Parts: sequence; C-alpha cells; structure tokens
Amino acid sequence: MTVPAPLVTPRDETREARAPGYLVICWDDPVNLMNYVTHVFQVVFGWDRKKAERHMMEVHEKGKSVLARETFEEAEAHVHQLHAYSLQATVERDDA
Amino acid sequence: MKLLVREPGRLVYQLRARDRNSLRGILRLGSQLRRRPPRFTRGPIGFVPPDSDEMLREAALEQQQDSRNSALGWLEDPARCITGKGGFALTLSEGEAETLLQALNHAKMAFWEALGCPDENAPVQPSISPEIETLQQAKEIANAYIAWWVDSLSGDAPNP
Repeated sequence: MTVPAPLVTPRDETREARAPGYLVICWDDPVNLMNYVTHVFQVVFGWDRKKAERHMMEVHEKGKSVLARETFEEAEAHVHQLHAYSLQATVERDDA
Repeated sequence: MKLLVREPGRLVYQLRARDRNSLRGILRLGSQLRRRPPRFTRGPIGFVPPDSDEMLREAALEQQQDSRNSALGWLEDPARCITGKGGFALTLSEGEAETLLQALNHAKMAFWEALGCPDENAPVQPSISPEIETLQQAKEIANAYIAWWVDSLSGDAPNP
C-alpha cells in the first residue's frame, strides 16, 4: 500500500520558493554622505559600484531601499555589519 | 593627507602632524559622547527575540568602542605611524582602513546626535555656545576626512 503524496498547491509552491523571508532595509538619514553609503553597500554586499549607487539613490529619493531578502540569521548579520558603519538598517519580516 | 601606497592588503597614508592631531581629536571627542543604540527593526517586535534585540544593541555599542580604540591605537603606535619627512606614514591593511572609517563615522554621528540631529540641508544656525560650536566644527572636520577616506578606499583619491 502506498501513502498518497500530499497535495501541493501552486500557492504553497510559491510560498516555498520565496522562503526565507526576512528583508534587510536601509533607511534614509540626513547626515551620512552619499559616497560613504555607496562604499558601505559595496563592502558589505560585495556589489559593484553601479548597483550600490542604485540602492543608495533609492534610499535617498524614496526614504528606504530593500537590500536583501534572506534568512533571519543572514539578515541579522548584515544589519549588524551596516550598524558598524552607522547606517540605519533594520530587519523586517516579508509578509507580502 | 596623501595615499602613498596602495597594494593588495596594504595601504600607506601620509599624514601631516595636523591631520594626525585632528583625527585623534575627533576620535577622542567622539568617545566622550554616548551614541543612541541602533534599532534592529521598525516592524512588529514579535519576530525578534527580546534577548537577540538587546544583544545586538550591546554588540553595536561594543563594536563602536572597539573600532575607536583600535583606530586611536594605530594612530599612536610608533611602529604603525612612523615619523618621517613631512609628518607621519601610517600603514594599515584594507580591513583596518575600513575600521578607521567606521570609527570616524561613529564620531561624526555622535556629534550630530549631540547637536540634536539637525537637518543637514537647513541653513547653519549661529552657534549659541562654545560647546555647540566645537561640535559643529568637529562634525565638519570629520565629514571632510570621511569623504577623503572613502575616496582613498575606492581608488578615487589623488595619488602622488
């Protein structure tokens, strides 16, 4: 006798594919220099300057930028690194 | 200030005596001010264990102290900061140069917070006390060094 496989709905697949679900967000502040923020993104995430500048400009113009979506532990480590550079970064759960 | 040598894993900066004194002064003045602990989340607190949140705040403040103490130590170490023609030659690894940058920015943020987090785009108010004037000047000096230091790390600083 075989046990029937559990049904997996497309919704479940989507949710599975999207896990893990914690966002690293950098918020705008009126004091850090733009080239400093770009530099920090390059160092912490290993991005090239173009990508780092795009996120820096998003922070500057929209007030925040989602920098990464990852596990809680990974997000926690990245936020700690960003705090070491005095950037206003937080971890938020991605409930979308 | 000049970047004399940029090699993989090794940077040598030429500092005038004035630069070295300014950097030490900024770091020391910043160390007298207590920074606001960073926020770990702006969303519902529930998903962050309270212990984890507190530990991260403590780790951030401890890291600030460590980076400042390390940076001051390098600037005051005669084996690191060698007296020479025109001032001093400071040798750092790339990681150490990043730590010095972090320490400078912590100090700048401490000055800004002590000034009441003013809007940087607003006209500068006339200083109402020597203490405020000192903080404003220290913030501006720190800002100038940070801008130059970032350029040196990204390869944009003018080389001799």
